[in-house]
Amino acid sequence: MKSKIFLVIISLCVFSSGLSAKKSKPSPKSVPNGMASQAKAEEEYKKSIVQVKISYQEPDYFNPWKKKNPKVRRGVGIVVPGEKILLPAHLLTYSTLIEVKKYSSYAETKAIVARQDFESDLALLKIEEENFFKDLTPFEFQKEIDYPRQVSIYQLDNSGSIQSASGSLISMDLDQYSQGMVELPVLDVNSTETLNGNGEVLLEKGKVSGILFDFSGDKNSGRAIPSFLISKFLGDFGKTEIPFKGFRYRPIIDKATKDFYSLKTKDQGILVAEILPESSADGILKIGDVILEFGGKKIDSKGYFQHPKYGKQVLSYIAHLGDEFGYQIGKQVPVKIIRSGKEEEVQLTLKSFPYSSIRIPHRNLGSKSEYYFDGGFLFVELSEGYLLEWGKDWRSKVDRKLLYTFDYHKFSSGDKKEGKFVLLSQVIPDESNQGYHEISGRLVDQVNGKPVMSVQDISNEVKSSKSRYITILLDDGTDIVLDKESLISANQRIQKEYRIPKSSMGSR
Amino acid sequence: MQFLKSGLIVLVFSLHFPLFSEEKSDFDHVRKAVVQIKVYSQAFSAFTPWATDGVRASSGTGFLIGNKRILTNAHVISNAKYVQVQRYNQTEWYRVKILHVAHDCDLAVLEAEDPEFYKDSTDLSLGEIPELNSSLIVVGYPIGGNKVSVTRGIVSRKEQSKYEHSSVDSHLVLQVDAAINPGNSGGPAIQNNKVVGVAFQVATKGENIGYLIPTKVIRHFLKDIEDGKYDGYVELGIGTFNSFNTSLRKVKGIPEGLEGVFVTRILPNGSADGYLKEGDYLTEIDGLAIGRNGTITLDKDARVDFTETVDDKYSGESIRFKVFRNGKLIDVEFKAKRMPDFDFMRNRYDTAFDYSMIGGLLFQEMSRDLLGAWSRSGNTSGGSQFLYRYDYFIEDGIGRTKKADVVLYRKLAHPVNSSSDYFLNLVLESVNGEPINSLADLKRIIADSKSKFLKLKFLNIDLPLIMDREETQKADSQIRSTYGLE
Repeated sequence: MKSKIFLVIISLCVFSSGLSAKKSKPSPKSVPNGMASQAKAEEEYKKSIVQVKISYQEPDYFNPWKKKNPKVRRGVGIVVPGEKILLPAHLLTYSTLIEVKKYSSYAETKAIVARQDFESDLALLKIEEENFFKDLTPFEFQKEIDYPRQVSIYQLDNSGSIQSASGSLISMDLDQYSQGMVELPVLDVNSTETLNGNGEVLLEKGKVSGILFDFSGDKNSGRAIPSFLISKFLGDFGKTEIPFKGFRYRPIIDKATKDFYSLKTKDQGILVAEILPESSADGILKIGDVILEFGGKKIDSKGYFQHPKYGKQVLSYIAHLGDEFGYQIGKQVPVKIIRSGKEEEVQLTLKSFPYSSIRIPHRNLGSKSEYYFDGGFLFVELSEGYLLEWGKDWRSKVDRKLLYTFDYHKFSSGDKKEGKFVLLSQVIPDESNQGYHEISGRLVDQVNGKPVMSVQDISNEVKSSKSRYITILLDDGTDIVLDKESLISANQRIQKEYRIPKSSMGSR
Repeated sequence: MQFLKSGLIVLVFSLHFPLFSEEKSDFDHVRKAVVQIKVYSQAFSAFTPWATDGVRASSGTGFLIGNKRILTNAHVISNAKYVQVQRYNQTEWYRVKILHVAHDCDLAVLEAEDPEFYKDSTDLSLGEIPELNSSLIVVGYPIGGNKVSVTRGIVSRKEQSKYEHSSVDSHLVLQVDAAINPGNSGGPAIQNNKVVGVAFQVATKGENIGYLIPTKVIRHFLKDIEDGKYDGYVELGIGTFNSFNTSLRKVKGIPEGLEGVFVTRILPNGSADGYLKEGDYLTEIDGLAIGRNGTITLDKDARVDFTETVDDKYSGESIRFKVFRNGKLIDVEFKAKRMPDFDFMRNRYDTAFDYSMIGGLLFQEMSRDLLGAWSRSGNTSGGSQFLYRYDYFIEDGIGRTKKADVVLYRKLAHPVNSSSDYFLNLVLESVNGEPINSLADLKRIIADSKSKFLKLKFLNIDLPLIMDREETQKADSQIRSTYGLE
């Protein structure tokens, strides 16, 4: 699957998720309705909001045997039924220790992840300490969101006191969450006060309408996870798994395209542009199909339908969060299409996102960085995390072939079995790998004449090959030769000289 | 200690020697050969190929090399519409015609039309490559006056380096620490009364570092044009890899002690295409031994890349390799030829850009100039496809099956092209199912098409752009007049 849209959306998310690590600052204007109501609010909500401290360590994609220096980020968690604490999942990325602090105590209590979902950016923590929840009360959630609407925004600060701010819900759109692949509803929030976007809770009449996961002080605006998506995650609608429609579409706005696809009516229908292999749409829809109706709703020429409560929403809403219309994972969505000039109806069985078709993993999904390091040759699998090691303007720094591969071959095309992209990341100099020291960041094509689809393929070949020499072909025609008999001594020298852990070398 | 001492002696001697020789140099002789060049030029724009840019005035230097010929840099007279010359004691400006331009080595030959210009002039002759650490003078007309100016410098390095004028070609250069300034371009560097180089570019970082085109490159150019036309440099067209690694040598069965380099890539349409093979081990070129790092001995000063030997050759001359292939040493000989495939990567001068417009959509073959226009326009959508195809078109063998990538690089807005933004900066793959391998293909297919719709399929994008052919044609004349084409 080759997509420009994927790229744009993901880079937006990358930008927004970068703000979560900001330190908690007390709000200068945190007295919205006078001292009396401030005290009341504190009394009311201090039993439902906790502070979460996350120690984390990011992987080092250039030196995958080690991790970067540990850091700390803080977030806000809220107490939910079932003695759990809910918070944005991206706060937990690469966590090494999670600690929770409630209003009544200065002590930090260890928490562990009970469940997390990258798509909705939500996670639940559980506490093993007994009686932790004894003096805490779970929040209730709004069934529907009203906007535009004023809301109160609460968090628990470092000193253990409640801080409040005010803001307004502006609108709701569909977008991918920072670590997700599926577009889901996101609330746009405006506030002139200093917020962090690390889990502050949005309340209206004492009930949760959303959780703030992103905030930009420059723009006075942030984004929040709406309450009904949280309810879905908590299992209130039955199935918690998020489905994915499986296709991307393009609008039909000009006359020539309309005529070509035999569309008679104005402002009607969208074009199926890409289909992800093994997804809901695979084998059901075809590229070039015009979708007229989706789940019984008329779809306009830009892909919107009329939601009874939230107005114009894109059709992804029906597929990804269509519980209210009776659509969930495993359910069939009727789709009215024009195919080859004829109207027909197909049934789309909703499946979750086909993660198996990802060839270049998103940076945060599965924090493990696959690599194989032997004889000083470091082979890694191409991932977004690896590319991001070049820093902020990595797109102008990385090799243009890698950039192109990232943009256009992130997903398998479904034509045949396609694996991951493997790179010879660098060569740690040793006498045995003389001549190769200057190679870095080249794609690997073959090992002993066989195609390479994972770093494991190279490792396996080295292990199982009967011949002493293993030949690895790079994409520029260079042959790398590993001498099996000298690998052990080379690894010993490299381990000693460069202080690389023994466990990270050789066959894995 | 013994070594140190003798080193010192050499240093002192060499510092004195050139000074001594300059005392003897006849500056009046040099001055009568140096020419100031005044140029009015008009560049072509890849982004707006139907319009002309403004006229720009610039100046440079040249010198007489005999037979009425004036040698200068190609970049001094590129895109020139009107060129005049004058020598130091003249008041009149004399019109010249451009005889030959070599953009790949930044040299050109001019001739004044009026014999009066040559009155009381002298010609300079070409010398050899100067020694490292020897001094020379650079003569020219740098910006800031119209009097001849002299700068002294020292040869500090000899290396193969990129010639910025084309931005692709690399040839031998001399690095000198001398205050060379704009306007000096094309001026001679003199040592012992002979030209040892032509000033042509300066280092952007570091002060007082200038570069000269050595006489080796000048002679190559002058010999090339002897038949009345410039053919340009030939290219070997291969990629190589060193043979330092013992395991690699063992696997490839290279005998102990046999030095050379491995062929890793055969570029389509290069001189070696069809003669050398990937995996070949090159041990000698024209009888010169190739080291395991790919160098040959040039002179006592330096080992240079073995491809420097090919750089000296002309189209049609033989290149002889001794190759270790399939366990045997064999001789492989083939003719050197130019590789026009590289042309799209060069800066282009003196010619307009060919383009095609379909309903306000502008198509061009991918080129360096288009890449520049693309990045200046600030549009990054789809950029990585364009950048990859540009960088790897030859290396990844894309050029084996098609002449050029045709790119939708710009749109002149009109209702007929309202859905096309998504496709900007992408490579056009086919129109109505017919592959597009050059701009000529596109023009032919559009001219011949009788179908109601034009289905424009772009690389890596499944869904095509649909245009109504007749509507598009109707819109064309309107777009041409609205946006001022032609």
